[in-house]
Amino acid sequence: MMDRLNKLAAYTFCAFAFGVQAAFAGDPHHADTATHGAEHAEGSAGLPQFNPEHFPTQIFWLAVTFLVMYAIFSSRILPDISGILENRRMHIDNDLETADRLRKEADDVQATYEAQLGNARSEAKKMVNDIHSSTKAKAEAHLQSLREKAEKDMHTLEIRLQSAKDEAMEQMGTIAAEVASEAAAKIMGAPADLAQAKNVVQLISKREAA
Amino acid sequence: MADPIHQFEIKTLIPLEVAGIDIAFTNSSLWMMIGVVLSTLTLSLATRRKALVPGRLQVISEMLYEFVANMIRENIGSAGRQYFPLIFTLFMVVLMGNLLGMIPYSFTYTSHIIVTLALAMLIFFTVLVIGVIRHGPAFFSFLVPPGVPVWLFPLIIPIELVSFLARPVTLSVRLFANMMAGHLMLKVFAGFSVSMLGLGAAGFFAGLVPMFFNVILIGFEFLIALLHAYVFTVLSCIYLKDTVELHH
Repeated sequence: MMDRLNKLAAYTFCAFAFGVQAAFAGDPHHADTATHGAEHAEGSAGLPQFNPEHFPTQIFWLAVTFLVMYAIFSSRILPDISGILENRRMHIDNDLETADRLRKEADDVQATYEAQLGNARSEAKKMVNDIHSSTKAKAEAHLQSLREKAEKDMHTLEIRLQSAKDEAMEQMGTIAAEVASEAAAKIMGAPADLAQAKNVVQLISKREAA
Repeated sequence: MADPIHQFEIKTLIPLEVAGIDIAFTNSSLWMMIGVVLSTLTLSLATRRKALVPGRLQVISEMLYEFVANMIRENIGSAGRQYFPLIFTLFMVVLMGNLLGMIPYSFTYTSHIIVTLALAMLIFFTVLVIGVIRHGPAFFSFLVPPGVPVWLFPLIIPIELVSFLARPVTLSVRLFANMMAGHLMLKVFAGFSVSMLGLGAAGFFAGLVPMFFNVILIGFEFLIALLHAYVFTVLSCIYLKDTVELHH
């Protein structure tokens, strides 16, 4: 459509140019020969622009130059320039696209990096917490067992102390009975019964304890 | 004083006649050819390397391309892409004519009404032919602006018709008159300087005044050359818009 219209315009111009020429060929050359003499007789009073003598050549060469220019421009130069501009536009678009893509990639990398950093940080925190709590638990368990052992030891010691005390008390009773029997023997001069003395001592200590 | 009109005279360089039509190669044709060679050669050299990071020439060619592309996008819309080679060529032809005309002793082919009229007619007939092909008889609905009551039609339609038919005239006369007036003015001021030079020492210093003005005018004329290449192309775009959509 576009091509056809352009050609049409060019043809129109050609047709017009040659039509006008034909008209002038018919007109000025006839009319000219009539008016020529008169005009020249007046001298160079009129502007050369209004001398129809030169109209055909002007139109002819204008048409030729116009068509040559049109042909060269439309076939070579304008497509070349439009190609250059299009190419540049595409290049710039491409570059912008690449830049956009790269920026997006960089953003992604940054996001992963940050996520990983966050992960590592929270993991480290967890590990520290774990170690802290496990150490604490261990220490507590250790302390507990230590305490238990100490309590047990204290308990056995107490039992031993009690038994030693009981034994000592028993021996004290025996000693008291012996001292009493010996004292009785000295006082009375007759040997006293040791077993009976023991019973007495036991009775007295029981009464005192009560 | 040198004749300021002399610069617009067409001189035959190579006589040529085909089927009774005088198509001699003239100084005007020569400068058109120089415009073609210069613009196509520069632009093909500029785009030869197809560099991703452009050099100076390539930047200029890309700026030209973007400039015309933006002009079309803003004035016709995205459907205007089909006219891109046409508009670009039109712009380059006018721009080359205007700028090459700034070279001393060159010939400004855009200062000739027949050249600008031919370019304007190209646009006019492109609009008319493509418009009718595209939209059929509905294309002529541009003669009736939307929202106009029926009783105004007898008044509106002739006005719109005249303004439509006047388009190529105004388009071509604007460029032609601007280029011609500017070059005339430059030549007249330069002529003042030259004729004052003939009056001796005092004339030499007095002659510096118009020369100084001429320096400013040349800068101004460069602006005009660029501006009117732009104006011509923008108006062509606006006219071509009618072929793309009716009722803007």
